Amino acid sequence: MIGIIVLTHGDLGKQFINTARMIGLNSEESLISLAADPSDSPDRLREQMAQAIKKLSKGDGVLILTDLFGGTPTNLSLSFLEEGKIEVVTGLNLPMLIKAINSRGDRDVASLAKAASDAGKESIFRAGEFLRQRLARRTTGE
Amino acid sequence: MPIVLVRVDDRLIHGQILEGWLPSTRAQELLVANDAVARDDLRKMIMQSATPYSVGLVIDSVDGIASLCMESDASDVRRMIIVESPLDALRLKRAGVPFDSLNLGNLRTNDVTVCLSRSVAVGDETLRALRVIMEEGVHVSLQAVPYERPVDLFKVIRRCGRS
Repeated sequence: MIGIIVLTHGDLGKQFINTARMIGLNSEESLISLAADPSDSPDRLREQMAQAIKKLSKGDGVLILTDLFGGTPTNLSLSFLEEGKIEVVTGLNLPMLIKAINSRGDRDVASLAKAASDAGKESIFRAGEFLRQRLARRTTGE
Repeated sequence: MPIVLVRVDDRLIHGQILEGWLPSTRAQELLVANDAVARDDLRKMIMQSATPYSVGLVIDSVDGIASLCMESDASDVRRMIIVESPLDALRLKRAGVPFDSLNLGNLRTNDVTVCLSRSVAVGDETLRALRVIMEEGVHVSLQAVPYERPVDLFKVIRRCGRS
């Protein structure tokens, strides 16, 4: 199974995982959250990352989800990139995490990274606009 | 395998349904039986927008869904039914919809007298309806999400000293 590391500023990643559980995802296995805390040194986080990757690497690769491109967690994760083995997707949101957890059984890490990234992007709606369009389409009978 | 799950959930379609129960039951049809929503175009559209295309969604009154279940031969379709309250579940049962187990997911009534689980709190009227459902031979269990262990309502009520 592909391992997933949720690497974020503060406790965000841990709470994402808690929330995924709340809505019904059984996500215990091969899923780790790590927090970049301002009081910790980057070296310590780098060491935690190395350990987490080691723990999760069972031949299927590891997907790292980070919160913000350009931020410390993402910057740190980039040094672990490894083609075919370790992928990084930034801009974490809940649909992305759900997609990653649910889809990791049947694909390689590169395509899982793409699926997670697509799900994260495609799940964003301006809700008012979206509903107005649907209503308009319905009234014109399309 | 016509009806794979009948669930009481006062939020109707929400995250637990979409990400938990639809995948775990592999339901092909989702029937929402609710009189108020059946009359509310906006809520219907929001539910339609949230449900995956691969799942057939029908939103209708409780009587409408009951007739649908009675009329259409769907023995080869995996159906999941959601109702807002045990009273509506009882209406389905009385109308002849064949189910012998009922899942209690989320339920909070205004006249709460007893909390049955973290997400289910009911008043006396609802409790009475649940008793009638059990007396009709339906096994009622409390379970918010699929990976949780279901808890037998009968045992919970007995433990509360309300049987």
